[in-house]
Amino acid sequence: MGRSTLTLAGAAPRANATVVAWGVVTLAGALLLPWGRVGRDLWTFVPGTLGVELLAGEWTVAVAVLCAALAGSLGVAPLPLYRRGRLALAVGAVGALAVFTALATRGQAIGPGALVAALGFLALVGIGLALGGYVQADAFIGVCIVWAAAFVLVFILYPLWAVLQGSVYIDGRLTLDVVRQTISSPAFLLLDNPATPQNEMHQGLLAGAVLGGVGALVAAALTRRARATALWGLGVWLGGSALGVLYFGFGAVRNSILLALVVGVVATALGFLFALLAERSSLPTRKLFGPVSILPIITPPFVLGLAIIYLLGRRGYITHHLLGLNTTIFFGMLGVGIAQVLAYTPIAFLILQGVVRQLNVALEEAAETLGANRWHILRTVIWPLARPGVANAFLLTAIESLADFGNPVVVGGGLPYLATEIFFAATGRGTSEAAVFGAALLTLTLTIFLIQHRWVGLTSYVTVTGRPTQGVVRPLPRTLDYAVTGVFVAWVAVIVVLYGSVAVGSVTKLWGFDYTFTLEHFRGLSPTGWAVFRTTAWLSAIAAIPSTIVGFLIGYLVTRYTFRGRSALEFCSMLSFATPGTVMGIGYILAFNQGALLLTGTELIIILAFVFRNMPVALRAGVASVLQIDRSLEEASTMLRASSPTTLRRVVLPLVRAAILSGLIFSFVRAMTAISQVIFLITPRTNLATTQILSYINYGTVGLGAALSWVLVVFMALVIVGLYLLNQRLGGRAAGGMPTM
Amino acid sequence: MRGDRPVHVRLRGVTKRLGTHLAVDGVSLEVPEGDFTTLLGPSGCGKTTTLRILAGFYRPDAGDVFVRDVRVTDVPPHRRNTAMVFQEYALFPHMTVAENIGYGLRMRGVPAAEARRRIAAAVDLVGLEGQEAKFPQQLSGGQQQRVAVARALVVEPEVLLMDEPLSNLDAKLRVRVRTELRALQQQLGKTTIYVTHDQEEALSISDRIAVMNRGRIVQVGTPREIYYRPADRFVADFVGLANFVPVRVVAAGRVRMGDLEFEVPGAAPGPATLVVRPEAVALSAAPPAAAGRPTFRGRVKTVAFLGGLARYWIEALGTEWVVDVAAPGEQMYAGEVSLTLVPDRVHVLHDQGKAAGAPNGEPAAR
Amino acid sequence: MTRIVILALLVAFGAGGLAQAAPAGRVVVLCSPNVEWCDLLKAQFPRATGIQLDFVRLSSGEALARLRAERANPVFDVWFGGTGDPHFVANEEGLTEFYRPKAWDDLRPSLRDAVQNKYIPLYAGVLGWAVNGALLREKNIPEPRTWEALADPRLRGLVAYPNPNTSGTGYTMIATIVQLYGEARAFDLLKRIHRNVAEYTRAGAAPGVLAGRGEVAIGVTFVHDAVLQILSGFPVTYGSARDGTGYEIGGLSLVKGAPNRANAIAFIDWALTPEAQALAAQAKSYQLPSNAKTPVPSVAPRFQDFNVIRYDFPKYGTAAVRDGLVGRWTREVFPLPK
Repeated sequence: MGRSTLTLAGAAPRANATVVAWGVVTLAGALLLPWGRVGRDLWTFVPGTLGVELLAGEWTVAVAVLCAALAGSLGVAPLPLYRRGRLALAVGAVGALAVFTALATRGQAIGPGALVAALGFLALVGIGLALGGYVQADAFIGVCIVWAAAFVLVFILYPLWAVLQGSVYIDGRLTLDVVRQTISSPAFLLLDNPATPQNEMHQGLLAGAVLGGVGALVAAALTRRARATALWGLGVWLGGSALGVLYFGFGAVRNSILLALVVGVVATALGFLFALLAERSSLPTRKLFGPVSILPIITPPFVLGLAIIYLLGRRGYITHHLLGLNTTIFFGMLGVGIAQVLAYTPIAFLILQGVVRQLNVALEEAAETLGANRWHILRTVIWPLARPGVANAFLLTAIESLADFGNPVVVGGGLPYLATEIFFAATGRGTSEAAVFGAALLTLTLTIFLIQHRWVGLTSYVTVTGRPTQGVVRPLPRTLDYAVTGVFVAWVAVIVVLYGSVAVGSVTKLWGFDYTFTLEHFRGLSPTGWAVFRTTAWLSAIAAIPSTIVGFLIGYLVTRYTFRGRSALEFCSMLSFATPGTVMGIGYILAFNQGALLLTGTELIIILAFVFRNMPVALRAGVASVLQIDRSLEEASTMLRASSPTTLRRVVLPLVRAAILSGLIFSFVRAMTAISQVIFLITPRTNLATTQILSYINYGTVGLGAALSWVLVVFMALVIVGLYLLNQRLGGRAAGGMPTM
Repeated sequence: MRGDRPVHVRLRGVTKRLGTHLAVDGVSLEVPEGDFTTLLGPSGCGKTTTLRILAGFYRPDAGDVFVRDVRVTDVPPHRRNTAMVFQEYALFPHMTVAENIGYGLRMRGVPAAEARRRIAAAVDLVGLEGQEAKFPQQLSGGQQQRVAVARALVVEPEVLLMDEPLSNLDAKLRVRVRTELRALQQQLGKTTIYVTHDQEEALSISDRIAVMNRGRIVQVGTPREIYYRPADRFVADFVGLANFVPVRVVAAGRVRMGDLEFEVPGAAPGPATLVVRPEAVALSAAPPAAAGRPTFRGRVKTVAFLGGLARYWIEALGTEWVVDVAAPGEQMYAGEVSLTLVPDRVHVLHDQGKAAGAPNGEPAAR
Repeated sequence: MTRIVILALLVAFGAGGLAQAAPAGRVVVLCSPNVEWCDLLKAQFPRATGIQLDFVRLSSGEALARLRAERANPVFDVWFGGTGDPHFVANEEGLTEFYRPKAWDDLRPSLRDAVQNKYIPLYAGVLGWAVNGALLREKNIPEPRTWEALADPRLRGLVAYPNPNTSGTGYTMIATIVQLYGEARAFDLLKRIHRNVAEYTRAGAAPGVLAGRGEVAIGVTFVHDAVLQILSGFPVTYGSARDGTGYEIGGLSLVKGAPNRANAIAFIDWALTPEAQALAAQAKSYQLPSNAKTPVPSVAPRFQDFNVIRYDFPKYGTAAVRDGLVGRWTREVFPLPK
């Protein structure tokens, strides 16, 4: 018993050690490492910028060093735990402020000295928060929270802020000129086209009014109630007017929104039908859903667009050779729409599969005993229960469509779309105009994201990686089963033909003209193609690890701990998921091109872009899997004297290993296929496979593009299968309870 | 039984707000060394929150926690020398029984040989020999529960905390395991704080019970004190069944109920409520005979045969009475019956809520 | 905790460790021609000089934007290739500086005079179009010989030209027509051609690709880009307006504040040698090389075969003129219904 009393009394000195350690690390970093870096080279430092050398000349550095020393001595000072926590918080905050001020005023790129000092002071703030009782957690968690918040602030919020700022703050002054010029440009939005005699906006409003009238009449005929008639009339009138104005309008806003609406509806409808089929069909085709739903995830951008050109163009294999048509109708919104529906239906499918799976069969049986037939059940039980999930799927596919860059670039038919205009504005007409387009697209997607976040909430993504539950399958009505299976088989056929055509393109001399077998395109990948492929795989693999760690950690923090700003942290982390890549890309260019945070032109910025873009995937997987672990497991570990890092390592990690693995895989794959953000960031040494494919396509060397695309697809499929098998092998020890991919 | 032992764990004015809900409201409690104290109350009464404050998972908004006069309010859970048995056992599914039990030893840096010895002893103690290499999922509920207990005990905690550890067992097993737990606790003399909402469990297992309601401790006492001399109507109602009859104490120790008057020692004058346990009423078919013992007539409405006893619902004195008759045998009452109170088993509650003779909620005074 | 600190530092710096220290002799090139050409430069330049070459391929518009974005802290040393106008603008904006190369006297005088010391001429290319003869025959339309002929109603949906907002080629076409007919008539013609346009492409070479694949019959592009399609095996030929067509002078510029200035100059001098210029043909780029001593490949289009106008580079290269024309096109032509 004497021993235990000792440990109680000894609790305080151990917390001291943490404070001392961080004080010393901060002090050493601030004093002995250089504060300034030369340009974009990460390892070339400005001479004479060691803390010791700057100490006398710059008061900010002096304050920082003083704070670090103070923090170190705080640890050994005989103080109650609480007081020490608060003092550490104060010293850390002052020190961090000093470092930030130093960075802002010095104008040099941040060197390791300043970096260590900044991280050290932030760590002290975290320790202070924990010890001071501001968060219910220990020092480790406190540090994690503060660092996570800092990273999210710097790498997600700051670039977005830079976009908004960049659209109104030009050459050092606040002006709305560029905003005004941009939104009055026909490429942005034209409601009334001055080049035509008629007024398109009036046409749209007229169409809306007519639709509203029809809606009211239909409602009146069906319900015979004044209220319903008025509501329906008004609703259809307003919605119809908006749609009508858009339909008759012109420009990127119009194209993007119309496309998102249509793609959202079609992909969600198909996804819902396929989900029903996958869960309830009695036909063997169900088994195809797994591989088919993975396919779009590992498909590099442009591949579908490329295939559509070759199959459906004026000389397309299907349109011209098989059907004898002579049309370019598939260039433009129709082609983009088809490619997007093919790409995003699996997303809707994965969401809705979870929804359909969770439908309680007992409810349907109850409805059946009450005399409902299967159609009734579908209409009155399944559909209402699935409605929130359907809304969720629609919103997510709409966001994806808005953010899509690859398809509009390849089959967009030269029409403006918001996501592509950002890039073309940035590369042709100046970053401020790009920022205006970026702000517009950001506003749109954020609105949708907010609706989705408020309405459908946190559970929505969970099902994407959730574990399958085996229930009693209720078969679909036979006619529906066959009809939907027909649609699905056609869909699979289209997929097979499209991917097959790319495969054919990679091994034939001249796709579309000369079908002689050749491997010249694969040989042609050397040296550039292969080198770029290696760089891409390497950078993606490196980025996947911090991406998973940071994402999982934030997921763990927000599920298990309560602290001020917790939901803000989660929301902001998810923000990078909802932000279109081109917006984030222009944001990174604007944010990290000068001053202390100068990172453009390095590999590091590409890795950081990958990390913070894909982190939400791991975050979601983390939240979902942590929620499945009873909190008392961690408490039991804590009670048995494990510190929170030990608990994380020994209890939580082994239980969520599968989720982490799938987070790793998806982060890696998403990085491999990323295009929209990184196209702004590629450097001499780090050209990426996706931009290389685009470059091949633009120059007409399509065979090379097809070859590189296939290399990517096959490589990613191998990686996924390999890691999956590895997980199966490792999974032997702990019985059950593992969520699968 | 307690007075001679030093106080081991003390809560002083502990208050905790969870969100907007005042979960624990100024709780003070002293647990003597080696004592088995149960926090009893309905769900949401703050008993689990109190336990978690003791464990260190929550930091109280006000008040302090002492272990042997050392203030531990700010000590994080993993630095306190307490161990806890969880409601769902919280066994690590990816570790074997032996690994689960040894986890705390490993965290304390106990050398492997000693750890092995202590694990074996703990396994022995809870009777799980031969199960060491199994995973928790391969054990029965009772066995899992024992692993949880062994895991908590093996680290030789100063204080053992248990959060409804039996609620996941079926009824029969629960009775058996709670007897075992009690025996184990007495054998080791380990100070134990136990949380349950099951009054029968609390009565059977504890040295002392602290009854909680709405974040406050309403009464602390031995199981008998709690049962027979509840501090207020809530305790009386929550612990066991009771009939509540409005009465008037006409003079010190003299109670008037309807037109009956009888002696209840310690009752102070004023309006009051008489607490009558179902078994404190004797039934007979014959009309009232013995004078001095309060007897009145009633009419049997329903009867439930429960094996060892029969429970009657009887209309009498304008209200409904619940009366238990032990060992009923074949004979059942029906129609008109006589009810006779056993005066030394009834208890008077003054209508301000203060019980006659029993000062409320001040354990320090005892 | 200590372990965590170490781990954190490792994560913080480990990623940075990827970038090894730069080799001493290095030049970073913003490369605007096709990738093959850039690849050849990367392979050959170190052999000639021992200096390592890194490049990013960006079209000339993208390249200009990149230079602007990085004005304060240039990454690139040299801008190689791409249409002349953005080189002009870059020079005007102080992003690049003129360097008089050693081979200056060997460069074709006409090209030298045209660019007026704003940048170094690297090659010249004639504006024309790729023609898909099969498609024209199918529709029974004669091959167009003038800009006016592109407005032929029978060509509806069969013409593609690059969007001048994103492509230097597109701008060259508009500037050419304006110089030929005057602005008012030019825009009237562009509006009539608009009805026939299937697609305004982003990239200058893309119309040739479209014509090659048979999406359109006429793809306005530089003829050397059309040659590439022909050599790839696509069933196209090239043609141009007989009443006058424009041309580009591909640029080579030294980036102002180049991090490796000395190496950049070495690269520029090397790039203008006949040997280096001959790499273009190897990379299937068939422009007219600026060095008169460079052998011209047989398949390359010859200037004398075209009716080339006196293109006013100094005027049409300025940002003001360019923005005016492109803006007018975007407002008046682009949104017209087809």
